[in-house]
Amino acid sequence: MAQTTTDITACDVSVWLDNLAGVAKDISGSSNSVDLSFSKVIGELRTFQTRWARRQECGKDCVWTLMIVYSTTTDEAWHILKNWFFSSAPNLRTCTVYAPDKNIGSDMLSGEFRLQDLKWTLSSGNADPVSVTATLVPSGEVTLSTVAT
Amino acid sequence: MTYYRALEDLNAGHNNIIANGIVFKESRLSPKAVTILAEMGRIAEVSFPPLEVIPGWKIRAAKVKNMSTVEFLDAPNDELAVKMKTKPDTIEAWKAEILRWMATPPKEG
Repeated sequence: MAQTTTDITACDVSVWLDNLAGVAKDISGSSNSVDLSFSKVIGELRTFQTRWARRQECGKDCVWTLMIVYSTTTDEAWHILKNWFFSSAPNLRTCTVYAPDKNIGSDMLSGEFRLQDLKWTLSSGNADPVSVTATLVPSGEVTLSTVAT
Repeated sequence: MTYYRALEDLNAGHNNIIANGIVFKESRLSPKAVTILAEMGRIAEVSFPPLEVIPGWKIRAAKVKNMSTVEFLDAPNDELAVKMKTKPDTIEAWKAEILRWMATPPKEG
């Protein structure tokens, strides 16, 4: 089997998130990590006189965790996320991740999400830029498609 | 005109999704996108059977003798409507029927 030559890095990943007005904003420049965790609901059955479990599956779910930079510019990731948590009524927002980049042929994962939590630490002895972690959970289907335009 | 089958869900922008299995005209995508996606194996060129082979098309095919399926799909609706003694809207529906018949069933899940 030939060794793959189409492996990717995450350097040019593009992350987009709706702002309060529902306009998708590119937050790639103010975020540096996104953890995409997909899962299936698996049910299990074990009966007498069998050793191995039988399993069946049903629903799907995911949790996206964004690592963003605490910055002060409007429409950067922190501005959007803090307003989402503190200033807006509960709402769904579109979040889209393009990998390895936003060009034709890339994977595009997208869905409508609710903001579950925001976490950050302010430490007086740390000179690193402050990072914020945001957890998004979907409401409805998260789709995978190929960028074709 | 060349026709392609989407081998994955394709996002052609502005919520224009070409679902996996759908057969579509190459003009729905830019020439650059067609070249890249074909190279990546995300789309594949479709070969159509003759019109008379398509289920329910024997009588219709006889009205457009010597016309290949692609020629039929590419021909203007009003010209075909005159030839086939029907309405342009009906021709459009027939074209859509051919493309639906060529599509592969949607995947589960």
